[in-house]
Amino acid sequence: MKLFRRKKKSLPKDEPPAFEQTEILLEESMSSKVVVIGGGHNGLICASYLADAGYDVTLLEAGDDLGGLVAERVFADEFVAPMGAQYLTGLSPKVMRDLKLTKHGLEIVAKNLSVVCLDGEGQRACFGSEVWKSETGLNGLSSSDVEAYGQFVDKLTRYGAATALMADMRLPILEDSKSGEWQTWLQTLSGLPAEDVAELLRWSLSSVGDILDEIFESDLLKAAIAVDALGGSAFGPRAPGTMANLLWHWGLRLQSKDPISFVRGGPAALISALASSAEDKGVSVRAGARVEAIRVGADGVEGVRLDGGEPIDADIVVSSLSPKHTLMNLVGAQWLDTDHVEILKRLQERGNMARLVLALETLPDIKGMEEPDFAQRILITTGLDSINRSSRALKYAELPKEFLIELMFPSVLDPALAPGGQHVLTANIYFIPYAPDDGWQEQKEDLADRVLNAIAYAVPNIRDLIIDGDLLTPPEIESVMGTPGGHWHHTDFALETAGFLRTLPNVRHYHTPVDGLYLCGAGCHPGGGVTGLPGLNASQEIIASERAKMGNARG
Amino acid sequence: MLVAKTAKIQPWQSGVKTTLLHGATEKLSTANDWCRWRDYTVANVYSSWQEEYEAIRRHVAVSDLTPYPHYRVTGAGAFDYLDHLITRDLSALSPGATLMAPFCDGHGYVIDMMRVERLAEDAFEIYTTVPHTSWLLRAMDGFDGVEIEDVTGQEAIIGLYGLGSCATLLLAGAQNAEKLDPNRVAQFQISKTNVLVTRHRALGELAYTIRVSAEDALVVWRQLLRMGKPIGLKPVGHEARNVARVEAGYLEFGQDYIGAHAALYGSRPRTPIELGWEHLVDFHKEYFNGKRALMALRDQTPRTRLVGLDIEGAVVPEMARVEVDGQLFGTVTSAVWSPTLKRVVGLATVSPEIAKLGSQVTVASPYVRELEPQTLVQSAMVCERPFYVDPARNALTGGGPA
Repeated sequence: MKLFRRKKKSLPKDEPPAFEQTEILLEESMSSKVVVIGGGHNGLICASYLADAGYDVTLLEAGDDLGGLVAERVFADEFVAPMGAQYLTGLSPKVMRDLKLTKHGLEIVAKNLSVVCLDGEGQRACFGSEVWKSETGLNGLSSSDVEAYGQFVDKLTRYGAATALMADMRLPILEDSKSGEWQTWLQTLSGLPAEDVAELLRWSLSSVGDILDEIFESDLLKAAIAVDALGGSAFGPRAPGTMANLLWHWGLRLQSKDPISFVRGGPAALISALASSAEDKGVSVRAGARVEAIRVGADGVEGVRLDGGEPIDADIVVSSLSPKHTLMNLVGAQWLDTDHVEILKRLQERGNMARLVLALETLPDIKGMEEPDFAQRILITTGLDSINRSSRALKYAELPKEFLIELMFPSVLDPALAPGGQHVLTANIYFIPYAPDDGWQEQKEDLADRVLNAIAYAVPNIRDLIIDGDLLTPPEIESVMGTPGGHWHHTDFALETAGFLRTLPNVRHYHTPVDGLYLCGAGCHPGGGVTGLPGLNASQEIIASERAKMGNARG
Repeated sequence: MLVAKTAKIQPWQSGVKTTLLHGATEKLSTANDWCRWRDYTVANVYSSWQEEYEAIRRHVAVSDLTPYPHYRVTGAGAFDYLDHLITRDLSALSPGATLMAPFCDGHGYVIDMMRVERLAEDAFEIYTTVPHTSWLLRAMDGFDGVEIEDVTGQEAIIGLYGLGSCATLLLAGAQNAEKLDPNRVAQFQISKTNVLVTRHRALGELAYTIRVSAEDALVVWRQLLRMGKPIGLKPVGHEARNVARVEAGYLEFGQDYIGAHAALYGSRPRTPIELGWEHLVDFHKEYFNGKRALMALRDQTPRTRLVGLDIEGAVVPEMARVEVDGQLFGTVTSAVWSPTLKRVVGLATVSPEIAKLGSQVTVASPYVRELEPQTLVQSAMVCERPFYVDPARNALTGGGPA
């Protein structure tokens, strides 16, 4: 474990983190104008850091409100439902500290949320720290599962720590064989004992289902663990490589002080805090400003053009939108090498999650649920086989017959999200194709009905409690969020699109082939989820490389 | 008992195709010396390569060039698409004009060279040395309104070379052929058949490329041969053209350089700068495939240089080592005995440190004598390319690159 203690400075020595260079930079970058596209959390974080480093930063948001994938929606008058992230996966502690988010009103009301898995017939299993500590967590598990549990979490933590180290590291690119970054990267692996390296590699290439089958007996416990390997991925629990997703997820959790947390006001409150912090740092925010094109000239980026034709000049443009949309639609293939266009074109950006939001009169009775469970993530499924069948439908662009549903009651964590005594239920329905073969027109009602039936299996009186509600299909989430398919990683996240393979394998992370144009969204390393790391890392990379450029220009 | 078996030819075995002109070229071949050009078989030598060479340089020569990979690119997006593809500025190309340009991958490595003809605002035809269908399709991503059709082999392509080539066209009935400017393409009539004629330079000579539909191909070919005969026209094969090509200093794909998509190792393909094609790269152009990579390489010393070699003696080295004090500095990729210059000249890829004009090197070629491996060592000097320059002929072709 000692080997894995996070080093304070993971950036190479010649490029110290931005905050140490602020003074030098102030003078140099005062004149540099930056446009950040997209007012999601990563866009806001990147904008704040750049403004803090002395840049003149304008943030452009297409919608009327900031938020991106952490936006919320008010419905049935007073009910507030998060439309994207249901909780914060693992906000970077550096972001929390540097942007003084607590001062700007961010209050964490719950963290380390557990997953409670219900089969609808009264059986439950639970994965996670808080509930596990209570007696109830052990109910129904065999003694061998109870024993294996501790060992498994220990392993997950050890291997996840290797991932966590990579989360804000300057990752090498494939063509840069000379840089010492490869060495640093390999050292993060070689710090593990040899048998652990073998096991880590085996895990990374395996399916989460196979690994969990080796370790546990309880189907519900396996499902509760596996769910974090499946979010944002198009693959079921039997697909090779899904175990790596779980490790990655765990790594991002470990780098945070407040993993899987809920904040007062719901996840959208993070946006308010970030916006307030950004304003403090001097970022000027323009909402309702949709960028139609990024203007590029022979020497690199020149600025952006808004819908309606208004040009905005900039020395640096940072896009928090998906890499594919940024480069293919906003920049255009005429400015890119065919080699890059080919890679961008094959990036998969289809979200495969539907979202149900319901306003409820009271909290329902749920078979097998215990009082504290309402504050956790609730999973309704019978186990991995059912989840696998559900994912198989996605593969064939069909709507699943069995559903994997992850419920939350945000109003339990913060009663202010629903009017007196009433409640909000939000649910992610996994493995819903973006474009089912038979189209959405006639299937949406049917899907909503069947999802409610599936919930009613565990929550029999659910229909009687509904005041209002809606089910959003992936295309509808796309139109609300402005992200392709509402995909929270922007670009499918799997082994082949993670780490140094993310986005364009031979272009330095957060850079694009276009000089002065950078990326800072979930399509970058280390991917989606509410960590703030893409935005943070991008800002550090931009500051370092723009400084290097100035150094070169000066001779 | 011997049983005569008729070999059943499977589709994957029957690679050899004949061109639209084969019916005529077959009868002209007294040497019966053929070579493969991609899927096609064409004449290597018709009668004697020396005589054919003389026709190129002194009279007029005609060749069957039908196997050239040939694509039709049309649509509102055709210009943007092609302009992004090649390293030269396409906006300089008005309808009715033609140019030669390399095209590169994202590393700035040359994939191949293409001739672009602009037949109308939105209609282009391109010729490459080897087929690039896959690359041309892949490069279409992100470009709307482009259609590409592979028309290779569907029309006959006839090459005319030499001082008598314009006269041959006129004698064959192509009225006003003398008014066609260099690097222009226009329609003419030969034997009441419409043909597209391009005037350019090839093999160091004034040259015309004539394109004719499949049904009229043989008529036009025979008309050219009949009418050109009094002024010394001869059909010429690959071998004579190759001698003239090396004299004129032109690089051959697969011989003097390897295309980016053909190379197995990352160090093998070449940038236009390494091939001496700086003049074919328009860095002021907004963007083209590989521009960023080439801009970054522009200030660096190229890994290799392509140079001309003047080689002593009368033996033609084949794939020989270029050495200085016994140390390897490069490879001779093409070498010929030049009938005009009366010496051996060659093209070589060498390290930049010996690429200076006048550098003395040795050329070591392996050969086998009575089952024993031997090395022939010849001294050589780095000299200017092209080896064969005729200012009068250059004037006829409008000068300029390629």
